[in-house]
Formats: sequence, structure tokens, C-alpha cells
Amino acid sequence: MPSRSTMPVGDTVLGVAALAFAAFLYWGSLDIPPPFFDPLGSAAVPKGCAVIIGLLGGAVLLRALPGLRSRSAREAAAFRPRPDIAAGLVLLTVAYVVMMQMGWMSFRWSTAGFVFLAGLLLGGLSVPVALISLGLAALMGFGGQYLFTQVFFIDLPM
Amino acid sequence: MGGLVDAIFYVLTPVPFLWLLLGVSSGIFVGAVPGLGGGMLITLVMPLTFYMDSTNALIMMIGMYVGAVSGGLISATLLRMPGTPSSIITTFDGYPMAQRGEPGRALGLGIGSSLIGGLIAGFFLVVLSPPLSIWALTFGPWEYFTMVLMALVLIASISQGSMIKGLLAGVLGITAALPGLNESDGQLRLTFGFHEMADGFNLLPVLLGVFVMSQIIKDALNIERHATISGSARAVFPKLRQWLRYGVNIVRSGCIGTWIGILPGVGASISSMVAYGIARTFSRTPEKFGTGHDEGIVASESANNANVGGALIPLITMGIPGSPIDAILLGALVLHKIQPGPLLFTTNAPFVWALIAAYLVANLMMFTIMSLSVRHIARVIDFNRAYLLPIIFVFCLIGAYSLSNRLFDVWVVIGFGVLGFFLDRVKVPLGPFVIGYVLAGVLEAELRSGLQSSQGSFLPMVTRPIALTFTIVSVITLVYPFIAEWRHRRRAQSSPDRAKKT
Repeated sequence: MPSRSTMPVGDTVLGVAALAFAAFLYWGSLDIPPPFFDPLGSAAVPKGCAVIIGLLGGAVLLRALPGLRSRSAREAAAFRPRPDIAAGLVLLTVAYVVMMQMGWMSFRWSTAGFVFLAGLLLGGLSVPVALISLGLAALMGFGGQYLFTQVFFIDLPM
Repeated sequence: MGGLVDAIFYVLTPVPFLWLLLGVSSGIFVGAVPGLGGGMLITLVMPLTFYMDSTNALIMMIGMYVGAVSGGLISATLLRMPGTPSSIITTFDGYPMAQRGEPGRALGLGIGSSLIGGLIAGFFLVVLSPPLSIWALTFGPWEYFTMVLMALVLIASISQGSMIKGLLAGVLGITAALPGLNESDGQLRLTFGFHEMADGFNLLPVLLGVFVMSQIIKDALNIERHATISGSARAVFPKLRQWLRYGVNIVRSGCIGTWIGILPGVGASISSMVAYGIARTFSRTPEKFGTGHDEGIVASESANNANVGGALIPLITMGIPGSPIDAILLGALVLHKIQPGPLLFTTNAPFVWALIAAYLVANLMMFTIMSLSVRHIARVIDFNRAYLLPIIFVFCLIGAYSLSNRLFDVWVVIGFGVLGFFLDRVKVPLGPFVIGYVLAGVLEAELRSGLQSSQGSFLPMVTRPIALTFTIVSVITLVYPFIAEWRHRRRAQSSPDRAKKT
């Protein structure tokens, strides 16, 4: 087990997030009434988990802090990571679900729109990508609606 | 043995056979595509199995599990991109051999070793499962509680990366299972006023989030990763005499894979790593490992396939998942209203034997399919993921929504997907998280029963022999890395002092 963190920045974020979550969890457990017929009750496990998460988060943070001053050079990746595309895809999925949650679009149209736009986002703006994405969008939106409601009898969001 | 023979005949009847064939084929394909995996496939199809016969549904999922672990070797050998984490070690020798102009031989060695490793584990699955389930019937709440505790500690300590992060993942998984109604006393907890949280986070959306959504985000991040296939991918099998030469290595690696599979939560990647290391230690030509050596491929592939069978042993006999994918299978059992645990052998023996038979037949099926079609699979595995990822998310949405017709479950998928992605980025293993989540209910229920029976005392953890054994293993597993590190530091400090004196 290494005594120091190999990724100090990430571990610092993890440690702080774990400590904050532990505090939140403990605070949330305070509202749970004490046990009235068994020795454990409903609050003991959440409180225990909060304490353990806090301790482990603290340990991660303690190991990460010394490494923050001497940050090691990053290894060059064989390809370029695209955080912009990853974030864009998450936002698109959120928008897709919001459309159906708010009742602004049906499953059919929102799915077709999502598959088309996500295809363009991931594959790049070009005519072949747009055409293939359009075909898949129609297949998933209209074909999917038919397949899941008429063949598998699964309810879909309105 | 009569149960097994009947079950094999059942699996060979048309309907279960076709489900198994579908499972193995789709598993091989998904396992071969880098970025997709068996866990993802099984979680995605789980909602579609709600209306299926439970036995056939589980038979298909076991086929997917076996297929996915085996399919990973195709991309590991031809692209140097392991289709599944269990094939990482195969890249060490499979890819150099393919680069040397022998991709067919590398694939043939991998496929053959996968079959033998799988059958070795199948033997242990058949032989060990019945007595283990009888033994597990003697367990009381304290034995179960300490065993689950040991499982979580083992998962955390042996999973790749830091033990602290493994433990953190396990406890976070337990925490994710806590919100909602506590059935023992009817109290709502950690719902923060949201009535949707009264049922807590359902199993399927959490699994879809952690296994599928996080992988979609990861694949989107790495969308520019491409590789090209080297050489022709027709499997060329070594002659029987050569297989006999690898006999000791295959049997040893198969046994290692099975044993590590039995340990709760330790994935196939660790099995192949350990088997590879031991094969190199005992090899007459250790210097050839990593340069496209037969023995490396044989060790890695027989161990990772044996791990699947080994991991099924604690799942079937005790309801404890031996790996993250087994945790998904455990979830599938629960969703199909089948109570996993030692009583399963007593109450539903034909079902258990059908799963074991499916595992054995799946290995033979995997060998046949891969031998015949590896060339064709190799052609299609590196297709554009830009078209696949949105479709996978649509399936996630439908799967999560169909559970209880509410979009809250879809938000849970997205939330746990982002969380899983973040945890993966900071090298927190997701396996312990999922296993912690799945086992949290058993852990709390057994602790509650134990405390009620002992009037609130924790002493039975050390006074009951089996519970004491599990407790000791947990403590040693937790403490040993810290002692080892302290000794390592002391040795490092004392060596410069000694150098100064001399």
C-alpha cells in the first residue's frame, strides 16, 4: 500500500467530498428516532457509515496533501481525452429526460432528437454521421416506441 | 449427480438452449468490444427478462457472463485493448504474438485455455456447491454478519488500487442502500422530505448507473481512441502434444482462478494477474513472458475463465457474490423473486443445478462459437461508438423507467452514472461499491437479528467458532497492509543508516 497518493489533486477532491458527504449523512441521521424495540434501530447503521466515510475520507486527504506540492508530470495519452464531449453528452441526457419529465415532448420525438444530436456530438459534424444518426434516430424513436409498447408491453414515458 | 444430469438434459432442450446460445453469443460480442462489458450487458437486459421464465432468464445471463469474459481476449490480442478488465494480462503476450504474425495462434491458445479453465472451475462448482450449501445451513445471524463483513473487507483490500479507496467504495455502496423505509421498524430514513425516496434507490437503476451510464460517459471522454487490427484473425489451435506440455500451467492457473473466484468480490483480472505471476515464477523461460509467450496467454486466459465458475460457488451456496457481475446476478435473482442463499439448494435444487449445467454448457458453446466466428467478430469490434452510446442510454432509460413507471429512477441512473464516473476517475474501484450496495440489506438484517438474540452484545462475534474465524480473517486483512507498510518503511530507514555506518 503506497504511503503517499499517486494522484494528489484527485485524491484531495475525493477526501474533501467524502468528508462533506459524511457530515451530511450524519446530519441526516440525527432526525431518525431512537430504537424502541430492537437494540440497533434505524439510525445506527447510517451514523456508523458516516463515521467510517469520514475517517476514510480523512485518510485519503492526509495521504494526498503532501503530494500537492510536488505534482508529478502526467503521462502522455495515446489519444486526446474529450471532457467537453463527455460533459456535453451528460447535459444532453439531462435535457432528454427533462423534456419527458415536463411533458414537453413524447418519448418518440425526444428519443429521436436525443439519438440524432448525441450521434452528431460524438461522431462529429459531417454529412455521413448526420445521415446515419438520422436513420438511427428514426429507428430508436419510432421503431423503439412500437417495439417496447406493442411487442414487450413496456410502458414508456409520455 | 442425478440432478446435474437432468439439468444438462434440460439445458439442451430447445428453449433454454436457444436462450443460452443468445447469451453466450451476445456476451462474446460485447466482451470483444472495448468499452462494453458483461456487467453492462446483463444489467441492460435485466428489465427485458421480467416477463421471462426465471430459469431461462438466469441461464441466459450466465451465458452472457461466460461469453463476455472470453470475448475480451479477441480485442486484447488483436487491438491491445482488453475488451474486459479480465483480459488485461492477455495483452502482455497475446498482442506481441499477434504482432509477430501469429494472431491465429494467440487466439487459438486463448480460446482453448479459456475452455479448459472454465471446465476446471465447473468441476469445483459441481463438487463444492452441495456440501458448502449444507455447511452454510448451520450459519446463524452472527456467522452471516461476520461473513458479509469479511466479504466487504476482502473486496476492498484485494481490489486493484488503494485499500482505503476500496473500503470507501464498499461503505459508500452500503450507504446508497440505506435511504427509504426500514422494514424492521417502519421508520423512514434519509429521504430528506422527498416522497420518491420512500422506496430508496432501486437496485436496477443503481446498477444501470454505476455499470452502464458511467461507462457511457467514460467512452464519450475517450471517443478519439482508435486502434487497428493486426493480421488475420483465424484461430489456429496447437496440437494435443503441445496442450499436454501446457497441462500443469493450465490446471494450476485454473485452480488459482477458481480459488480467487470463490473469495468474495475479487474479479477475474486479479485471478489472471496472480496466475500469470506464478506461471512466470515456475517457468523455465521467464524472460520470454511479455514478448508473446504461449505460457503467458495460457495462464491468463485459463485463470480468468475459471474465475467465473469459482465466483458462482459463494453466490449459489451462500448468496454472497464472488464478483461485481455476480452481484448483478444476485440482483437478478431477487428481481425474479428467488431468495438466494443456502436454502436454495433445498427448496429449488433443479433451478440451482440448471444454473450449474448452464455454466458447463456455456463454456463448450463459447469454445465452439469463438473457434468458428472469431474472424468475423474481429472485423466488427472496432466500429464507431458514436452511434452505439446514445442507443445504450435509451435502453438504460427504458429499463429504469419500466421498473415502476417513474422518471425518478431515470434520474437515479444519471446520478449514479456521474458518481460512478467520478469514482472511477479518482481510482475508487466500483466493484466494492456495487457489492456493498447489494449486501447492505443482509448486513443490517443479520446484525439486527444477532443483537436481538444476544441482548445487544457483540461478543458472539468472538465466541462462536465460525464467526470468530471470519472476524479474524477480516482483522488480519485490514491490519496486515498497514503492518507491511510500517515494516517496509523501517527497512527503508535502516538501510541508509547501515550504509552510513559501513
